[in-house]
Amino acid sequence: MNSEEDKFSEEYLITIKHIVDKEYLGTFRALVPLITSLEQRKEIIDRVEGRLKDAESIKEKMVQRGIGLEQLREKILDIIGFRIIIHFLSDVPNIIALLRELPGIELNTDQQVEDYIARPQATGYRSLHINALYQQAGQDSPVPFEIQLRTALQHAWAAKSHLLVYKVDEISERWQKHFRILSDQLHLADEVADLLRAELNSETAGMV
Amino acid sequence: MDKDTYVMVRRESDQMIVKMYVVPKELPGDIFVKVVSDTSEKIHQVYPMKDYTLLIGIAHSPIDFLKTFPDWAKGATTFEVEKLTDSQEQKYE
Repeated sequence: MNSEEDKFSEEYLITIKHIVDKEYLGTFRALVPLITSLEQRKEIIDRVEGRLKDAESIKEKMVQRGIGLEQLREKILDIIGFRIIIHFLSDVPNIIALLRELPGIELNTDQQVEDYIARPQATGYRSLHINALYQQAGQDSPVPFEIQLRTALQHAWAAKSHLLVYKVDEISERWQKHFRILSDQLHLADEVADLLRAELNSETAGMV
Repeated sequence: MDKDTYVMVRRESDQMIVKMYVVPKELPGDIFVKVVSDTSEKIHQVYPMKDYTLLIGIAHSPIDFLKTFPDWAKGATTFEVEKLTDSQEQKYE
């Protein structure tokens, strides 16, 4: 990269950072207590995590998808992102119901949902990505953000596979298959856990 | 808000976390924005933007932060943590 390109690249990053600071940082801060309040539901939620996408990652995504600065707000919907780690796969609808009750939050679960639980990626990645909007009092328009739902086992798979391959530029088909097999086995464990819970619940109900 | 907000500095050349800042959790929303925004600019004066990336996230502890975002922290295990001082907070009151 020559110095002219270097300068352009840095100026571009600074512009993105200013947009993030001005339009997203306050919303992120406002959303943190709201979304993390769900952690009180320990029986269904393991933990809640959140992050603000860094300027470099936003730039990379814009370059990959051919998105200009003027389209940033409508095309990059995960600048603010939360991840909700749950114990049981069958609790996904319960979490969605809890999210719908939070003030100012509007979920878009009908459109633009990337359901990698129902349709896992070739690598075995499983997670439900939901696009949402948060309308803060005093703001002109709602700010988009993303919520990822995944089970503790799906999260463990993502962390493990990441640690194994983060230095590799491209994963071969053979290794993708291995990761997919690992993911499928953990998914089976999630399904068995759901069956066990349902059976235990019905036995407990029968005892009353 | 139980969790702390962290600002992490990642060096792009080797993907290592070189520094981590804890944002005081008591900061009101508008002051939080000003402190984090201004601090980010100061961090970039020491760690230039073309070589270092900042991530802002929430976690219970620095280690938890790394475990939480393995896709960002790239396996880093050591780093220095600094708490943003009260004077930075008071400056904007």
